[in-house]
Amino acid sequence: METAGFVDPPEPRLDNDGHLADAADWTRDWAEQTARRDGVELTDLHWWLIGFVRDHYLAYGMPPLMRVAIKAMREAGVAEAASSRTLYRLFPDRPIRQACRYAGVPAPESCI
Amino acid sequence: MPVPHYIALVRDFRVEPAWPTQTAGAETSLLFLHADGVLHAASESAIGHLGDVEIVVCETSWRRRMGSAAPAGHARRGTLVEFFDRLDRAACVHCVGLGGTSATRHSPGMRLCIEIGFAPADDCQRREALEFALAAAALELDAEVRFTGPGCEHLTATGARGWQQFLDHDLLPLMADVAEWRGGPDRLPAGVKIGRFDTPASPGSAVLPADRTILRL
Repeated sequence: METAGFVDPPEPRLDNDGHLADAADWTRDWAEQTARRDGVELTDLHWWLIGFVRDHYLAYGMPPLMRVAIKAMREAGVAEAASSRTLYRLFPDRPIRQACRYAGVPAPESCI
Repeated sequence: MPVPHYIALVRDFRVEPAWPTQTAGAETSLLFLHADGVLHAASESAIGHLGDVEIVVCETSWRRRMGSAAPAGHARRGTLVEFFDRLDRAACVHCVGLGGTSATRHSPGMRLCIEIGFAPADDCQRREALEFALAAAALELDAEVRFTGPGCEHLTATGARGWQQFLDHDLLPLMADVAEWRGGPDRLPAGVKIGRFDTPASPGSAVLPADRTILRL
């Protein structure tokens, strides 16, 4: 769409899993819009997990184990009684994998 | 699902282990194929078509190499989590991999030692050794990872990043025996315990006893 000489930026490329092909293309707005299209309303706790998953991926080249995310959640005080159930309530279908999508990082490769 | 008495982990396609004859007399057995070992289930390899053995291929290793094709014969796809779960009920585990072979008696709750003694030839080998250890960490098993000789290369260059999470998040202890390695301890990430395996430790270094269930990758 073009308005008064301004052109909307192109949609970022996605890989075969529907995740951003380039993590550098991620923006909060993109995550918000993608979640909205999926019918997910992102709360503060969703955003915390999305940020944690993204930071972990950028640091280690892969997303975190669930136990790492749960422990970090407790230590950060965002969910002091956090458990795997907490993650599944945020994202019911493979929580870390879903968080990866909104975090703009590739889907986990392994079956862990 | 039958409880396996004897488990074999095969991670190399080039090696044809003597495992089938060693299992004569075993009640039931599980053959778990990981990394290049999954190619046994994609070929005419005898080990991939053993009749009386439950054959499971790691779905991630399989997908990396074979895409969506189905494994041959009666082999089915499974996960590393399943492997470790079944391992805990096994009496003996035999490993054939890039770092050699190992055969260890096992009992439930025995500490696992994931031993990595080969230098990674490519990113896939780096990745799959890391994923193996991550699966044990995901299940919060009593386990450790030992890098021996050329295996220490996993902890350097591009490989160091993935293993760093073990140290930062206290997942599993990492130990290294650098005696047979051309690098030195200063090339390893801080937090990796340096020592000699199977020998008394020198003062100031880690004690690395040998009484573990060895999983030699």
